[in-house]
Amino acid sequence: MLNEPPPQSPARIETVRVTRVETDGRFTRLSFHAPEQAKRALAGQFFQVTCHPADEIDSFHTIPLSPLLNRPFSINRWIEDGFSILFEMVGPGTRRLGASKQGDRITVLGPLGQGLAEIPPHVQHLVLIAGGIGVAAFTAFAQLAQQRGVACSLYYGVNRGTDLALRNPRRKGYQSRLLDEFDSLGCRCALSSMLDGSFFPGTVVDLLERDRQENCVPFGDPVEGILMIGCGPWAMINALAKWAMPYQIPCFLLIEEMMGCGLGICRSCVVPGYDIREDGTKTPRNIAVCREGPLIAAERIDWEKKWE
Amino acid sequence: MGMKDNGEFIDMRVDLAGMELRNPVILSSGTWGYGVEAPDIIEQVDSSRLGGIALKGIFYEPRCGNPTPRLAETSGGLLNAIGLEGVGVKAMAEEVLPCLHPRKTRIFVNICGTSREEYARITGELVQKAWDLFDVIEVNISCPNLDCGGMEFGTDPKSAAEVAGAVRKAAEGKPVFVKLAPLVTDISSIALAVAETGAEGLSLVNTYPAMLIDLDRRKPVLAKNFGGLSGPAIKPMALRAVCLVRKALKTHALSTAIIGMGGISSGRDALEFLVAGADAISLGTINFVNPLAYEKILSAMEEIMRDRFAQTGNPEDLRVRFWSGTLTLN
Ligand SMILES: Cc1cc2nc3c(=O)[nH]c(=O)nc-3n(C[C@H](O)[C@H](O)[C@H](O)COP(=O)(O)OP(=O)(O)OC[C@H]3O[C@@H](n4cnc5c(N)ncnc54)[C@H](O)[C@@H]3O)c2cc1C
Ligand SMILES: Cc1cc2nc3c(=O)[nH]c(=O)nc-3n(C[C@H](O)[C@H](O)[C@H](O)COP(=O)(O)O)c2cc1C
Ligand code: FES
Repeated sequence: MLNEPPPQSPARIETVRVTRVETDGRFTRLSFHAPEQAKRALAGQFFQVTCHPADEIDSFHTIPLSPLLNRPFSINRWIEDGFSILFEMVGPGTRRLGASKQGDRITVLGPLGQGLAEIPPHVQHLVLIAGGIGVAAFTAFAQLAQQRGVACSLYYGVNRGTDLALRNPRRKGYQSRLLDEFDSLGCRCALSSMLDGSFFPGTVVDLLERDRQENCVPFGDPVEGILMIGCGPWAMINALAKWAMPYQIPCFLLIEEMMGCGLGICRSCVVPGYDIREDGTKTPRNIAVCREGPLIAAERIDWEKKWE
Repeated sequence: MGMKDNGEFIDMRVDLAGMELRNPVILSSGTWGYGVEAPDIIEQVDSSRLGGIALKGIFYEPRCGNPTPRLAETSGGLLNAIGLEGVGVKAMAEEVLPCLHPRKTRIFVNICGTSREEYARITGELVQKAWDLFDVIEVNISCPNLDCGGMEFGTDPKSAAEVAGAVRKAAEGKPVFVKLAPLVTDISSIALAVAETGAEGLSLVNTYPAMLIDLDRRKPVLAKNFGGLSGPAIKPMALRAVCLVRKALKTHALSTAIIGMGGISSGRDALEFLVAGADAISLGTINFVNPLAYEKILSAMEEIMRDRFAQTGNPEDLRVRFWSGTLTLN
């Protein structure tokens, strides 16, 4: 509340235009004409997006009542004149947004939270680990890695082969537009599927462990120069954090919690965590994901209390 | 005073228990934090366009609040069970309030306690350490999300009056507003009991106790099982509470001020609360939809007032204080 770091980039409320809608019926990507917002945003930051087109709000400021709250979405990637968000249509808000048309005007608040301002100089390889729709935030990280000339790998775990986002079965390559993009950004992709044999059979963390055992890129012996960033369901990021610890691989997570305001005001999105001083001492406190996250060092989370 | 219009000024000033507010729009406790959390957004808040801000509630000691999920959405509203995560009175007096100073708007410090003594102790400390830094003590006896304290004082006229009396005594003349729970057998009798202690005002209303169920898991959605419902869904009920309390106060020749709140999300909503008997209104949940909603709502109120004046030619329609309590019941 009082001891949170200042915002990394100033948030604004603005109405932007949808320039492109891509969908496979389950996942949708909206691109916005928003050059200013895109310039301010960092990989890992998010926007609070109003689910209704702005033109539905009349001059008396009577707003559509359902869904009422804005929905948080990570910046998926930068485009020439703005940025995109990519989401799975899982409920009323994402379905309403998914029905947006090119030319619709949508109100967005952001960029919000803490993202990755820069890849630290000692990092030679950025390793992104996604569970399901957690992949949505990662194109921006791959873009950053490419710009900085840092190697990048994506580990992407799904339940079944058909769960890949932005699928296009007629396409060659990965049969997913999203993965083709990672490919063209020079980001190596490794896939796992837990429930069918489409890809490596197991969880994405099982896949990481296999690659480490076989000393596959990016894992040398010893494992060094790596920065890992994970995003996905709680059970997955917890497993990832546990896995990374013994190898002392720096591990950051993009955390999702139910959000009200997105600004650190309502205290709905807190996770139990710590402040860690340089001498290693930990002071417990609630971390507001929307202000101090979504990008949070794995060791700052009090996993035991989270699972209580 | 506002814009010039057809040779007439639009006047948004209101009198709230003897205090002048620039306009009747206040931000509700718990929905704008301590006014310091989002400096980049606050920078865009024109505090000269804001009647006041009620800060997030505090207990005497800092608190870490309830487990998550603490918030869930429902049709036209949301449920929260934040559990008053807060900084405590020391940090309020020494860190938060000095940060908000100098300010152009009225500051309401919202307090909660587990006993009458705790309410009085917080008040005493605020008065002693930060007298110049705030304008009103808002006494929350209506939080539905606590294991002890909060609403237990707000459901019975006698204990509500005891808390109000204790705070008033400790407040040494700072205006005291008591925030009432809406889901009670007879809100008017509680309001009257509080008003008779001499409390300067009433904040009506807090959230309605409610729950949501996750059918798949057959579990409540919120970690604390129950929460408080706020947002547009409660507006008609909150309006009724304001109307009933104003009527009861009038009957007893009491002129206690009322801040009306509950689901206000448009200029129309805001004026309806004034007409029902509120002297000022407060915005809560709508701040989560748009943290600068107050601007739009204020402008919309002015637009409606101008339209009304254009029809009636009555200059009182351009003075928002003359809208208060103009409801005629059938
Ligand atoms: C910082 C952040 C970034 C996010 N980025 C993306 C993204 O890039 N792409 C994407 O598809 N989704 C993202 N999400 C999740 C997304 O916000 C939710 O899927 C969305 O709000 C669901 O809204 P709905 O009305 O469609 O469904 P609802 O009916 O509201 O919810 C459907 C399901 O989603 C869960 N949910 C609701 N709100 C949230 C939330 N704020 N966080 C996590 N789970 C939630 C609910 O518990 C429920 O199980 C992000 C969440 C956060 C906190
Ligand atoms: C997330 C949240 C936190 C709240 N915290 C407080 C609080 O600390 N003290 C208090 O008196 N009321 C609190 N309230 C109640 C509001 O101030 C307000 O009375 C209520 O939400 C009804 O108004 P609304 O429908 O406009 O939101 C809170 C409400 C919400 C939604
Ligand atoms: S969403 Fe409101 S504090 Fe994080």
